[in-house]
Amino acid sequence: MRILDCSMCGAPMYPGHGSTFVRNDAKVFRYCSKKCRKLFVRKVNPRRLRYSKAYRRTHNKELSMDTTFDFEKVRNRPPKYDRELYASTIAAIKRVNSIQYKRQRSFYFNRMRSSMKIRKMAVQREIKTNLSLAINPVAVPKLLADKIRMNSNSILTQELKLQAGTTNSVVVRRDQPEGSDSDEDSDVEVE
Amino acid sequence: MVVYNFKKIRVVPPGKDFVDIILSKTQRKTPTVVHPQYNIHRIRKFYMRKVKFTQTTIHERMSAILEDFPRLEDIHPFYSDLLNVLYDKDHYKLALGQLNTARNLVDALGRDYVRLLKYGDSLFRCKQLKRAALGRMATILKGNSSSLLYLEQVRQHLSRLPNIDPSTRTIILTGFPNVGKSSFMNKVTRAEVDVQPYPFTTKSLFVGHTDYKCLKWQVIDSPGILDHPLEDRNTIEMQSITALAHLRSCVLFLVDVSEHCGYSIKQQVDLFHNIKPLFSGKPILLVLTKIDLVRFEELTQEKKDLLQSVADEVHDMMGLSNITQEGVANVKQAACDKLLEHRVEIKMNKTGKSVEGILSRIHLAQPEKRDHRQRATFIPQSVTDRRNDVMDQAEDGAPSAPKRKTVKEIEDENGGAGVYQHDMKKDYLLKNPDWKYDVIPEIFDGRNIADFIDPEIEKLLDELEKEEEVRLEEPEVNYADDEIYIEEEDEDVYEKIMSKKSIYKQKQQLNRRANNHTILPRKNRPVDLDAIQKELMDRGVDKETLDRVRSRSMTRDASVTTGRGRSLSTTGRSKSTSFERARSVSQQRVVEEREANPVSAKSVLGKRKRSLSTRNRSQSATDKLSGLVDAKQQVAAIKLGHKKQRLLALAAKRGEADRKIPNEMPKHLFSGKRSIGKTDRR
Repeated sequence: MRILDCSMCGAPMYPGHGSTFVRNDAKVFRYCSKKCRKLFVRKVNPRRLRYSKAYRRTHNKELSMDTTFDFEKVRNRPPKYDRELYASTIAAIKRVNSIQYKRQRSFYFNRMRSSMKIRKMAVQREIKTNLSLAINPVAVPKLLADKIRMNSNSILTQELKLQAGTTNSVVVRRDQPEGSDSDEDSDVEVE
Repeated sequence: MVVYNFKKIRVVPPGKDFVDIILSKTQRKTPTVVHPQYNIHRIRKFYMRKVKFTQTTIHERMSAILEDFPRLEDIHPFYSDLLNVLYDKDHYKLALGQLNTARNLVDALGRDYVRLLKYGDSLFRCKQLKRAALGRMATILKGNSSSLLYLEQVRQHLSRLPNIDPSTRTIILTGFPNVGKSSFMNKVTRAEVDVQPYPFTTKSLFVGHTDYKCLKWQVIDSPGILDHPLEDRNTIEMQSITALAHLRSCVLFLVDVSEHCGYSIKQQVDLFHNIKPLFSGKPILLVLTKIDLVRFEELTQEKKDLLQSVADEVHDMMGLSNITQEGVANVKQAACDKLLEHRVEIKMNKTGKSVEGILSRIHLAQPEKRDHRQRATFIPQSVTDRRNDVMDQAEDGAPSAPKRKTVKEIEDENGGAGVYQHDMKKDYLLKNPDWKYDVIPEIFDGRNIADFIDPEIEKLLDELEKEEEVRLEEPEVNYADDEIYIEEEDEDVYEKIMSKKSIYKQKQQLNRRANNHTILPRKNRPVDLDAIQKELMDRGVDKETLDRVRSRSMTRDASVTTGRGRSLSTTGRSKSTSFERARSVSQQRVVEEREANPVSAKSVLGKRKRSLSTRNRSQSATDKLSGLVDAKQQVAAIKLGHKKQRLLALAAKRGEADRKIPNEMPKHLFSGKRSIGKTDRR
């Protein structure tokens, strides 16, 4: 029993999953799903298949060369059983897995860093310009009060502060006759 | 080794039959219908075809016959001589020659008549020409009937000739009639030749096959030869002479020492001397037959001398008796050996094929030594002990060391195959015997343990840890870095904004796609107060505020004094909100309606969800129901409208004038077979 890799996408296949194809030259191909199998039959190159490990590694989307990968070698001669060795191996696997995971994560974030920056800027811009689409000015003061109470320091809070600052209104109290705080009406139609 | 097989010769039909065959074939294979009114070219072609066809058919058949029969020059001289003896070479050649000339004559006839037919001017004339042609051809064939008959007989006899290979190992039996040749043949081979007391029982050559030293030998039994000159010999004797003359073989000259064949030893010896020339270059054996009757020693000196004189000239003299089988095997062996020697000698002496020449082509391959290491045979000690035990046991009868119990024996002791399960893990050799019965894990945490097993794993892990330490010293990516981290509430608000934006976009696209619709100007568009309320709540305005505002607007009825034909527009900034205004106007109307009609129109229309409710209708000149007086009429109008629209809507038409067919030939209607029914109407 072993976990095999799909020969197209590199996904792990547990026992009882996937299908196998043995070619006339005795080369074995394993597929995790019908999707991968059909693609193989269509002679798609896994290096061009976006979701496959092969693609991801060659295009530096994830860790390709790392010392943690060297632990996992296909060994053709099984060693004599040794309980201590197995115990230490299992412990090693745990450790290797966790290290690998950390490294993958940092690799990912390093890759995504610039785009995350850009996204944050986009979010900021959007909130600044179109806040009224999500929050009616009538509701701003109350919301702001809540945020200040929670000591939030988000873009939203800042923007609310700004808006509250520009309007010359006071927090609407219940009994007061209606003031001119809601001069920006929200229409149903698009502006 | 050519196998002479004369069985493949085709049957030669007698003359008359031959003609019938040809003519019927012509009739069948050529067109049969012709009329006088046809074009003359067509008529001529018709008859020419017949003549030509007949000619070619005869030619083909004759050629076939001529090719099938063997040409005496091309076959082995033994066979050509044999055929000569049996069928007379001259006669044979003549017959075949006649057929050849017949063939040529027929060809000439065909050519001539075809030429004549070119000038035939009527159907009758052409027909006559054709008749003449075919008739003459038939006559030629009939004229050859004697040859054909002869050839047929020859063919039949040929096919029954024994299959003698002139080049392989052969033994020929010769001697006077009745000496015991056929008997010997029967003994030595599987052939069953007729053996009778009268002479010339054997009238032709017979072949038998025997084995010696894993080779096949031909044994040829021939008719007996009498002692008279060659010219006087009859056909039967001539066959044996032919065999002797042409087959390179070992000759067994059989002499009947008991003289029961009717001829004395002297006569037999004389015969030998007479046909000696035939034996030149062949190994000969003098074989004395019927020695059960008279032994060699019992013979008179005179006879012995005669035989001895022959024996001096030949290689060997041996005796045999066919009845008692004494000496038969010896004779055969001797004959075969002699012949083999002879053949080998000939092969050796052939020019161009020397022994050295053959030897130089033979190479014995030996494996090359890889290195200088000595690799002695190794026999484990236990094996030698066991061998010695066996040897001792053979001497003593009791084993010295006890034999090890096999698992099978243990199994049998403990109840057999189904009952006893042998514990295979018992004999495992592990570092610690406690581990014998461990369940070995294979998969752990998404990995195959077998891939990680390594005696050096501790070391590798240490190295990895060190590496990791080094790596961690570097500043790690700060996932909560100010530049990149977005708070949750910001994400939520952002998502909300984007979704609102997309909704507006979609709405606008829908509006823009209304190609032939008039688009209401914004001031005249209906206002859905509930939707507005919902939207505002979504944007954070709480229900209390909204209710308050709405209720206030209702009380502000009096402030709006305009009647029905209002010019109040929503675009101008006024003190009151649009929905307040709408509210006030609609209030007015509601009052009116309530007076006019106790039943609410909305209930009549049921649960139909429309953006336009009767209460919240805006004031606009294009209001569809503005001309109608009461709710009843309005309802009726709306219902009628819906009815009309239903079909259009079902047909997905934009209006009555929409005659576009998006797909003029949908594939499913114009192609494919039907599961039931016909497809002749599409």
